[in-house]
Amino acid sequence: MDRDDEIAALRRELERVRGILPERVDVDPEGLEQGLAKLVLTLVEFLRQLLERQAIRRMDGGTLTDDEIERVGLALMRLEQKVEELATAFGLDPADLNIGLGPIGTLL
Amino acid sequence: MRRYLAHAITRGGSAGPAEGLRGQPLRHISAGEVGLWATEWQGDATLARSDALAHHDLVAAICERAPCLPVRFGTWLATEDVARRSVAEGQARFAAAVDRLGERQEIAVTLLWRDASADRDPTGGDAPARGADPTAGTGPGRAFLDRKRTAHTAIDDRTAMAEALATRVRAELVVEPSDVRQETCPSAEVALSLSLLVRKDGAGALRARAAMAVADLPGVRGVVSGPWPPYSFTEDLAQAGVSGGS
Repeated sequence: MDRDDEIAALRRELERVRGILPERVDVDPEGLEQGLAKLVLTLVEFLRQLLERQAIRRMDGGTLTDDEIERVGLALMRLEQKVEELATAFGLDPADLNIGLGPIGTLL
Repeated sequence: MRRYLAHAITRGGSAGPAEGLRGQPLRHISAGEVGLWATEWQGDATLARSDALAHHDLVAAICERAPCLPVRFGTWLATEDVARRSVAEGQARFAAAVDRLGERQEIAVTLLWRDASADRDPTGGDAPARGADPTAGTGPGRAFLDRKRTAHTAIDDRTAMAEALATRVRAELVVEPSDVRQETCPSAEVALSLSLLVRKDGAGALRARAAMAVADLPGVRGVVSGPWPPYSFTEDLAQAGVSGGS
């Protein structure tokens, strides 16, 4: 996959997300902090998974050196661990990091 | 604090059940052509699973008496005025939806993987990953990406299989595309979730056909449920027109 294809794929994903994110957030003072943390962490995890798939495509396409693969892999692994830590700190199960999208399913 | 928990929308002021959830008053809030059935709620608004089941029973009872639109469970309106205004703003759309859906029900078809663990990380975090280059360096970063590639491949394979099953079931049931809501792989255990819209007098026959269609599918176990009010086909209406006011 060349750079133009990668950019086009990323643009399609962002267009998809822009059309499905909620226009309103339920502002419940008691659950606001946890709800906001869930929303932000879900978006971070979504982007992390997007980058992960992109890194795997580039690894398979032979456009990354061994050193680059190692560094990208480590960065994504640590980011995944950090998202899980933050989720736990906010009383969230990492498996619950998701957004319901109605008839078309879930974000992740 | 008083608030309103919405249940269903009907045309006009048809008769309804005697009381709402937890024995609280059931109100019919009229707005032009349509009206909203809602529990007038006092006190703590934390809802439990038993409330969801009671909401379902209440919606079914309202829909037995007259054509109705079920409202998604947990839809709160802050005051009676807010409720009336929300329904009034969408009354033409709600009235059209009652006419389209009021005499119809929903059948649910769910396919459960017989081996639900197959799309979890198949390497268990240690085994060599499919597609990995055995001659390449195996630092923790590369090993992480190799594991993820294997997991993604397994998920993609499952999704393709679930979509093929969906095509097969839908072809056997011969239902209009607009009368189907479909989700493939909504969770690790579920391959396919189909909601089928059907006229009330045809619900029994469709349920029987669906049971036959999913009886002997490879790799999955089929479960057919319903009929019940067409929640899956009115959720977008509820979200767009009757919003929470908590």
